[in-house]
Amino acid sequence: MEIVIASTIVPFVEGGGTFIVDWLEQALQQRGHSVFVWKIPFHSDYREIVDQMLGLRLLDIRDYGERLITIRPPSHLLRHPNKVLWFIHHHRTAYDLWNSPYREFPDNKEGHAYRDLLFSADMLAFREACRIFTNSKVVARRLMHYNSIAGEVLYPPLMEPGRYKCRSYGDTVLYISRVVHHKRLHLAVESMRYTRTPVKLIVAGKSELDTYRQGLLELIEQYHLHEKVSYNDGWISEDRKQELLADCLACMYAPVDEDSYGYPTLEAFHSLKPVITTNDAGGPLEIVEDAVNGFVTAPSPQAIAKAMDTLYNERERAREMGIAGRRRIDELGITWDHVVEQLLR
Amino acid sequence: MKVAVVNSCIPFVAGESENLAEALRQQLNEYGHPAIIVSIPSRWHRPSAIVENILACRCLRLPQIDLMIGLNIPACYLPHPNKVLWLVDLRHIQDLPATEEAAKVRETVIAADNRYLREARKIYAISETVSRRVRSFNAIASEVLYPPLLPNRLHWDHVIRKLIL
Repeated sequence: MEIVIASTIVPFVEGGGTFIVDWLEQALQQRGHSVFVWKIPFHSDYREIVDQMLGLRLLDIRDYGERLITIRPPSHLLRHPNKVLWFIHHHRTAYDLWNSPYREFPDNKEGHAYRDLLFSADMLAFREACRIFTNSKVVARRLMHYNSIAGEVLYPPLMEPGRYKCRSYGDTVLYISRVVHHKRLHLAVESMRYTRTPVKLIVAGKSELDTYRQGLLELIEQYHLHEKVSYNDGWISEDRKQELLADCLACMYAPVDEDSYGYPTLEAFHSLKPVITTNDAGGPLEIVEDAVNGFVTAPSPQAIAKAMDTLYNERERAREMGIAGRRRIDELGITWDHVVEQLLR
Repeated sequence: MKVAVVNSCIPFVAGESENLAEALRQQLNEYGHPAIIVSIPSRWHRPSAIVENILACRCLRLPQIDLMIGLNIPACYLPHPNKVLWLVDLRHIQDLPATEEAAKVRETVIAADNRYLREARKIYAISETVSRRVRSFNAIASEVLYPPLLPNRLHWDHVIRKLIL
């Protein structure tokens, strides 16, 4: 089948939102489909989004492909007779982050007008879709809450889960993520002030804003955490990541009300490592169960430090939790076979 | 310098500009300029679709990009404050069908060319032929910059220097 995958991107920013596109392309090609991937640069400034939505609406791709799969909005505005949405998040600053410091729209008539327009455009796109999948229950809930639209949850797998391995349960907790504020790597760093065991923390990932990166370094400096925390600046290679995962004690992933469970969680479980997250992390709570395959703590450094210490002191328990995490992936049926079957149904 | 190589294409159909776009992207990377290809699916098979397509291009944005290199029409219509064109093909006007409807669209297309191609601070063409077309249809001057056939280091040195400058 000829399939078009369309998604918006922020050029040169890679993460969950781009991997899902690249990996879906590979998964479809491996199953004999012909794929055209269309990554559309998107400027998220509220004053720019209306023009761009109009542009997507006007670009006529109706003749191309027997199916259009759209991933990151507003690619869902593209017209196509056989449009399937794998909806990974709303334009969040206009939706669930409206009443938060992350809101980018001004709270005045102008801002509200832009927001209303975005809402109507989204509704149009949802109504046109043949089928709507979401990457998590969190996003499905938001879709119901804000748009009264029912979405089916379709969890995104890793591309090559077989590459992850487990060698040992060392003394390091690993936090691999894009280094941006809402991923809350600072919470992991601050936790290290309160640990009582010799547990260590490795933070690794590419930073987008230098101020946040700098803030992390200052935290380490301020609390003299050099011996306990190491910060791997920059994008980490797959090989290096798998090596770190193979020998770490556990992983941490505690973003602010994230849309999906996050690939770091899957990577941890495929490496048979438990995951520490927080009760306000959103998506990760769909897969991480407290005291079963990791710890779900309050979003406080003290609580996280306690979880780290527990895992450090009880390696056997850490191992059992990691194995339970791997089982959880199977229970939820997170495989490309399932994803492709659903998207092409 | 972060570069977007912008290329119109027809999905599932390989065109000659795709190969050049990919070679250029790789070379830019090698010269230390992170580059992406931005594809603009477009086929001007109905005159009525052309105007929509031109407008669509004007509505798109290239955030985080320091330099746009446009290869063909309508990709070259995208707005960007630092735009350079390396025209691969320029048959869009002569390829319009000889109908009354197309005649009207033809004026719109020439107007779009005149306006949006001129936004570029420099226009190169891959051959004398392409350069001649943009001169005869639009009275726009361009410099011929031949694409290297093979990964020829000296030739790419020259091309990258011209495009980036």
